Amino acid sequence: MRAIAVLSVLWALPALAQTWTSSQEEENRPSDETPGRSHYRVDSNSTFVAYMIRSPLAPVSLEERRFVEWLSVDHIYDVGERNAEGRTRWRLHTRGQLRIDQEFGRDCTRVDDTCYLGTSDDAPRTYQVLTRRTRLDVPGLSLTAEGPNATSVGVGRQTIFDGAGFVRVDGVRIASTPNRFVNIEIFGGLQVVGTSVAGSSGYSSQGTLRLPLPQTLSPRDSLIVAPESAVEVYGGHLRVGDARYLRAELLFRETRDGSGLVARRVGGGLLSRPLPMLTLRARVLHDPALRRIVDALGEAALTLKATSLRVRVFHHEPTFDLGSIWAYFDIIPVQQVELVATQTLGPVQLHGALRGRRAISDKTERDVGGELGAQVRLGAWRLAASGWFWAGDLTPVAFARADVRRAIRDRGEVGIRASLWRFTDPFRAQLYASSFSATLYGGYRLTEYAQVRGEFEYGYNRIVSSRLRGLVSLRVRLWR
Amino acid sequence: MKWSHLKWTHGLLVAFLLIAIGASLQEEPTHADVAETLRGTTVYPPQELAVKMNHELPAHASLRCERCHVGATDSTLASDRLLPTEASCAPCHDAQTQRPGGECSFCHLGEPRASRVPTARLHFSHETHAQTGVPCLSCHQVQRTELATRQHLPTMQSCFRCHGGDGVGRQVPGASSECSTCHLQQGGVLRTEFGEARMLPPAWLFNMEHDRDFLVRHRWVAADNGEMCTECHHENECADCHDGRTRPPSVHPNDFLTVHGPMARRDDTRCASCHTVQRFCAECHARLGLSPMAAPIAAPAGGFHPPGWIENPSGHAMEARRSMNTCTSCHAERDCVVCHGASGVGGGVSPHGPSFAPRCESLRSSNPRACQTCHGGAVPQCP
Repeated sequence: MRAIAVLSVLWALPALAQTWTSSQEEENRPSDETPGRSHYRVDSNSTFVAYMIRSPLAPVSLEERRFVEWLSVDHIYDVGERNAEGRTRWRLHTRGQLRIDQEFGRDCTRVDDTCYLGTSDDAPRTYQVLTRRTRLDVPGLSLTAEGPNATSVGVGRQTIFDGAGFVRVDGVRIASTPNRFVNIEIFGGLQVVGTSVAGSSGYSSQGTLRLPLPQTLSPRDSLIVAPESAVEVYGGHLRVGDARYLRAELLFRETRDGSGLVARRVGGGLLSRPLPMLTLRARVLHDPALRRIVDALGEAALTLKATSLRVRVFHHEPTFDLGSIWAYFDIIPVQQVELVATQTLGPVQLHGALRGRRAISDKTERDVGGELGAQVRLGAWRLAASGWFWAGDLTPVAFARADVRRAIRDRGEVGIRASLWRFTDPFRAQLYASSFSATLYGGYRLTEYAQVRGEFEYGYNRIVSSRLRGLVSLRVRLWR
Repeated sequence: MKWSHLKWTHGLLVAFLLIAIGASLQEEPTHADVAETLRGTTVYPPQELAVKMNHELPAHASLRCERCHVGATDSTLASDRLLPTEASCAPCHDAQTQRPGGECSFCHLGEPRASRVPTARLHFSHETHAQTGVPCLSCHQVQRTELATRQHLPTMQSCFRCHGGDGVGRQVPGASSECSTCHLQQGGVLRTEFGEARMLPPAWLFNMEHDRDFLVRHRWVAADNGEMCTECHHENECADCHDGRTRPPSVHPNDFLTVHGPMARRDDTRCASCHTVQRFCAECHARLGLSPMAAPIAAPAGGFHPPGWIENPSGHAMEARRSMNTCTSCHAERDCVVCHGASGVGGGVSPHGPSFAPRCESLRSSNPRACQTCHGGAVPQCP
């Protein structure tokens, strides 16, 4: 896998050199995609990250270096004759994408100069078992046909997002807007998790670890992890109405695996824009299995020329895979009310917020918070400062940040960002501190197709002493 | 820290400082004045107008627009240069334009030179609008204007008087409301990145402005108007960010690693939006000796939680009920079963709420795994 990572970088560099010689000035000839019947696009995005940390509770430190490369090929084919606007009745869109996530270097738990690996062959369940050196994930192939009335039929790996959250599926998705008052979507397939073809575990439901279990695993150890299982997910939504007056939505989603039901959600939403400057929104998500409202929102937003004001109330409780024990614990929801405002005064934009939070149990926890910030653009300079705080029954915490950025010849930027945190942990008296951090960052568009970006961060607090973090990324994007 | 590390880090620090200083000494970019910053430059790049002009003068106001802006009604591209030329001014201003002896300063600012008007980053056909009968002054309101600048070019909101839809603006028959009708595309989505800035949606457009609050709001906006998101964003951008591996700096500000514990208790921002707690969080916590899954060499003496954590009602009981995600970031199911498993399996302390009993049978039939974990053996019966 290291060879693949190296080869990817070697591929990107010649591509970068080629595009460097063929770049064009944009000012008088903006880059515009030629509306050919068939066209394709290749994207490459490479990122290298290295960082080191120290632990406040043990004389250990951690080093990690990670290389992530993302490759994608899209092909679009327009079917049929073009209308006066240059569009065809149907379009076929094929996509293939692959991501390589390679960790290398001293990837271990380190005590001074001694490096301890995170896993042990002799006792695999004694140590943390989650270290992986290479992840080859997020490969996907999908084919989507887009037609009239916003009808689309997609087969393959795709992303669904609705009021129940977003989910990646290997399956089928059908959507249509037969008239401007009705929109419908249904989907179904296998959720992209660790059991998928080189799938990512990043989108699994919260709950028990799912890993392939060896034959020698004892029943006691099986309480740590559950066997991997294919996860099926299906659902859809129906929207009726005109958002200018009132639009209602019903949605449904269900997820199942080898153990049984993972999650079931039904929900609804209302959206109304009775006035151009006023938006009213309400959403609710209910778990019929546990008979609990797991998410709810009510929001009113007023947007004037230079002012916006939002009031929202929301209710949330964490949810877990119904195959894990935590789904059946007596969870209490958290409710929060916010008032958020932004104001533009010439080149200056101000924002502020007031927040209140509560969790009702045998006793009621309450917190209040506030936020204030400003940013101004003066020519090539952009200055920003902000701060927020929370105080009350939960851990008090405060944060302030300043950011100074300068554009470079309309092709890049360089800046410095500094922040100060103040926090206290009520359960560990020794964990109170002010944490300072400063970051130098910059980015530059080498050519029309290539961008380079770097960040260098230094942080200090009395708990973990100094911490350094550096990041360099090169992004090359190609298309024809 | 080792001396070699200090040398490496100091060297990087010096290098970045030199780059920053060098960049700051670069010549001023072409868009500098404050007035220009009041209007975005992503669609209409900054101009350098080198002439004087007064549209309000009766002699100018009485003329038809195309008298001076030759070719405007036949123009089909945004890149067409439609500013008046000397030839269009000469019939009335022959005294000023004659050579030699003309009065160049009558129209020109400073040394005579052409105005620099970069092409608007749009698709636009004046011909289509002219044939449809849209008056020039409907979009270019220069009746009471001296020199027309970028400020007098049509705004997106003014375009939505005809090209609106879905509850925003008004859609006139024949006027497309597709974003790609006007905006440049790049690889199937709108082109949003330009040299000096990114093109972002305005506040009046479905409440989609990408301000600081959008980090919290975007899930509701995406749920209500997800198809609008896909006009500018590829689906993989959602995955890239929510996979917890590549994210904008605004999500976790500087040194979030130190303060993420108190923030996780608040679940603000929601950890589970991007992180699978039993993998991502537990992996690091185990490495650092904070989790029962940690290697013995890394585990701290005395454990992680303070004395009285179990017995204190404000301790683990309240924390678990309010922030269960923080518990699962370190603990596996077996840790909870020790106490909360049924008698014979664990300590017999029931974790269920008061309303659990009526739902027991339906939950047991839906997925018995969790029941078996705590109650052990074969699928248990509900009380």
